[in-house]
Amino acid sequence: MKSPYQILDVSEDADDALIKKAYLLKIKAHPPEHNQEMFLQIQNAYQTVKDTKSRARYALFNIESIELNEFLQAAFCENNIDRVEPGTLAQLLNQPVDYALVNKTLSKTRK
Amino acid sequence: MTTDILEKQALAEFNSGHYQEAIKLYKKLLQESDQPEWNEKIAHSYVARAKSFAERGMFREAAELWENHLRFTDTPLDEDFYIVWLIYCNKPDKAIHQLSQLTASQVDKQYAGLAEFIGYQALFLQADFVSTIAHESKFHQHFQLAQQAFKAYQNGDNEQAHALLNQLPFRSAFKNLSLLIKALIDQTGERQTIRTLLEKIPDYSIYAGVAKLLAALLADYGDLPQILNSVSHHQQNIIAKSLGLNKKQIEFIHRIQKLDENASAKVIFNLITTYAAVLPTEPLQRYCEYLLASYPKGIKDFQKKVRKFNVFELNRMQAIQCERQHETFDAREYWENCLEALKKDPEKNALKIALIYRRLADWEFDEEKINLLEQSLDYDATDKDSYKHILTHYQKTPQSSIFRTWLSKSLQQFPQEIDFLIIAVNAAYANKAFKKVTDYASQILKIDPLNTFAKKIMYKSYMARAYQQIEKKQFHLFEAEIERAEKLNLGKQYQHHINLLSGFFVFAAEDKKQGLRLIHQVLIGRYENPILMHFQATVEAMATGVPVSTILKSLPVCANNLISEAGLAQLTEIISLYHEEERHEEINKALEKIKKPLKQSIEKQQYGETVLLKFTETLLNIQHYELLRHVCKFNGASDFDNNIWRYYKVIAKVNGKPEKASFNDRLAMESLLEDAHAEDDRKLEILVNDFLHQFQQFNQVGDFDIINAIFNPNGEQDLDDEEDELDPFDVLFGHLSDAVYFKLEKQADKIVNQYPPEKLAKSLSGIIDERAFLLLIMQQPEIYSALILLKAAEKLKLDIGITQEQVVACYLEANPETPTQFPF
Repeated sequence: MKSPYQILDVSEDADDALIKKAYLLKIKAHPPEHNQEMFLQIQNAYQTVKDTKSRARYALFNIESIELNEFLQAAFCENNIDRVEPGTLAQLLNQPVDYALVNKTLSKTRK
Repeated sequence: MTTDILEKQALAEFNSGHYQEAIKLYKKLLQESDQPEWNEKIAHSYVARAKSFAERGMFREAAELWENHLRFTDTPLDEDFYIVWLIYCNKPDKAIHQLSQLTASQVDKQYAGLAEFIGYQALFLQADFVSTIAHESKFHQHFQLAQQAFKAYQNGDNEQAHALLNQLPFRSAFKNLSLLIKALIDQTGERQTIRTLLEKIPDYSIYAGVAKLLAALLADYGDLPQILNSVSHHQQNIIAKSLGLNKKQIEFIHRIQKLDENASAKVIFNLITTYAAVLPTEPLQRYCEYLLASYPKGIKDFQKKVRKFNVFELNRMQAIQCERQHETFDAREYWENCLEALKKDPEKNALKIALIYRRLADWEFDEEKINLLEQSLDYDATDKDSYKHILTHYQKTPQSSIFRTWLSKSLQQFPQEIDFLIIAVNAAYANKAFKKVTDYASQILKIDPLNTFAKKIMYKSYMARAYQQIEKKQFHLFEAEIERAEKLNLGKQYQHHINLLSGFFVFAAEDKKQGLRLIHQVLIGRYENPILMHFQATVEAMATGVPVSTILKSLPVCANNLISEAGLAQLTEIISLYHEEERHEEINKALEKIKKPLKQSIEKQQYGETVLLKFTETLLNIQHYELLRHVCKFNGASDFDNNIWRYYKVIAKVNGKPEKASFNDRLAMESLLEDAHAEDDRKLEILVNDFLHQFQQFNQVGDFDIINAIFNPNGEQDLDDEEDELDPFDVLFGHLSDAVYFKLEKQADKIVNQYPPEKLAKSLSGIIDERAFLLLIMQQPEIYSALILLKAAEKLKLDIGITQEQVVACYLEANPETPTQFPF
């Protein structure tokens, strides 16, 4: 389940003004006549974190809901590379192709 | 078997994919006649079987089966597959030979996939199949360009690589390689752009696997586990090295990937904490904390393997876990611990402390709730809702200093808050502080100029002062108040009241005749029925201190009149208005004057239920049970189906005093409660429940025995009632609030070791024999907890209204077989 911050697309240390701005942008992008559920979700998210007190309440009485994939993403975000070196590409290509893929290639490209 | 049947059977096997059977049957058919169609079927069956073998990695067998098919057809099928199988089963010579048989058109158009495969083999696996390809094929030219471009890219000459790749046409065996290299050349740009380029490579391209790997390398995390699982060990190592992952991390990713989709929090938690050492702390902690909410038993492991919680955080986690499982009682204990921890630095933690107090208050009622809210405001004085709760609680006693203090605090904090101003107005009005009423009401009107409540209360306030001035004979001040009331323009009904009071003013202060004429004029103008005139004239005369009889004499006689339905509705309205002004005495006196014609009207007239219900409700509000009884007797209860009449009937009978109700009345109410519940009549349910609750309070002792005696005169035990027997513990402690009980229990935990059963037995020797007590403990172990709670109350100096004697008696009653010895 997404946190109110994720729904509004703001960081957890965003201030009232930034959160309000994000909220207004979101409801503009998702008006109720397009998607009522989404609109209510955005409204609810805004009410939950709109000011210092509501944010403090949210932080105090909630345990953040995190998906496994989100955790893995966070856990391995440091293990990113900015660029793939030519050597790496050569190494990856220097391998026999799995027959399943070849089979697919031959079947799909037939004229 | 005839040929037809055999052919049908063969075709059925072929269509079902049973090619081996199909081949056998078609071969049999061929023995009878050499049909080209049957030959074709055998050829197709061989190729299909070959493909099936190849899919299972049996390339040699696949190639042999394919070769078999040539005996049955002049046009070889799927030569591209055959060539690939030859390469995979390491028969390069045969593969080269077969390749050399393909025309340029076949390589460039018909077998584009084979061309891409051969190009990949030649470029990256040093397999020299290129020279055998038909010389006129465009493949050769494209191969040269791709080879040079890749070389240029390897050498860091991206410009040259790009230029060469751009020379490759769209229809080329190397177009997907071109996209791959271009994406990597473009790495200086946005990652999304690179990924978009990589995504252009179709998933059936020979380069699709590498493209996905590269996309995963450049992604934030994405599909990495899935991709890692689908690549060779060698490729895994390349990726791991590129991403800086160690062996343990790769192992973790594999294990995570193998988890069942619906794996429990416990399973995930245990797996993650096993690899805690190779996972980054911050996301690990956050995710574990999230999992702990569903798997609280993991807290020990978390503390051991991940990190120590601080006292606050540990208790917060546990409190939330309890809340999620609706264990409010335990949650409260953890929140109390949180408060203790946070109060070590109250300034820094003020808001948290206040919010926790408010959380605790949510679970409490009455004084306990208010106490917690008051404490919360010590730490955060800006919470409007807390003030509202506190004020609503204290406004029951508007004269009390505590109410005044909180009202002042609330208004100081929120001077523009209409809700608070309304409470202030009401309190001032109740205290007859009319100056304050107008001040507060004016403030409300400044904020909300259309606020009707403020206007009406101002009106009431001006009129109240006008009455006072007539009574005090300060006539010179009367007109100013009346003028102010008039300026509020509240409508006809109010204007009528002003005019009437002005008539009384003239009567009292100036000219009696003129006054009587005015009063008569106003009342005649307003009401058709003299009963109503008499009622209002009586109230007003009493309120202004004017002789009632003099006024009534001047009005038409009302004795023989009957009141119409519209008249009854009007009367109800006037009674309600005077009731709001708390003119109880005047109302009763005025009703007394019109009681006779009113009773006659109720007896003789057929009123609609709505009007009559409103009238009855008003009678109940002013507690006029005599008229209420009359309505129930002659009009309401017998004529209408609405259950509320059953309620009015009982309430009228007992003069509004549940304590005077008989057990039959109680039974009638209980039956009514069931009906109200069945019909979802919430309002009636509340009324009846309230009645029964009050009845219960006055009939607590022996209540059940009396009921049992009524229904069970022979003393036979009703087996159905066994489950309803009250637990002695609940009987003794059920009246305590959760908060008090919680404090007692906490204290009891601390002192329990000081009172072993033997020691308790000795201390109770004046109440029960020691042996008998120990026997009772064995049969009713809860008595021990109950007595420890009493000790806890003693220590805390809390008077919980229970004695040791009552505890022992209660448990003995619940367990009558215990031999006893009562000194009391």
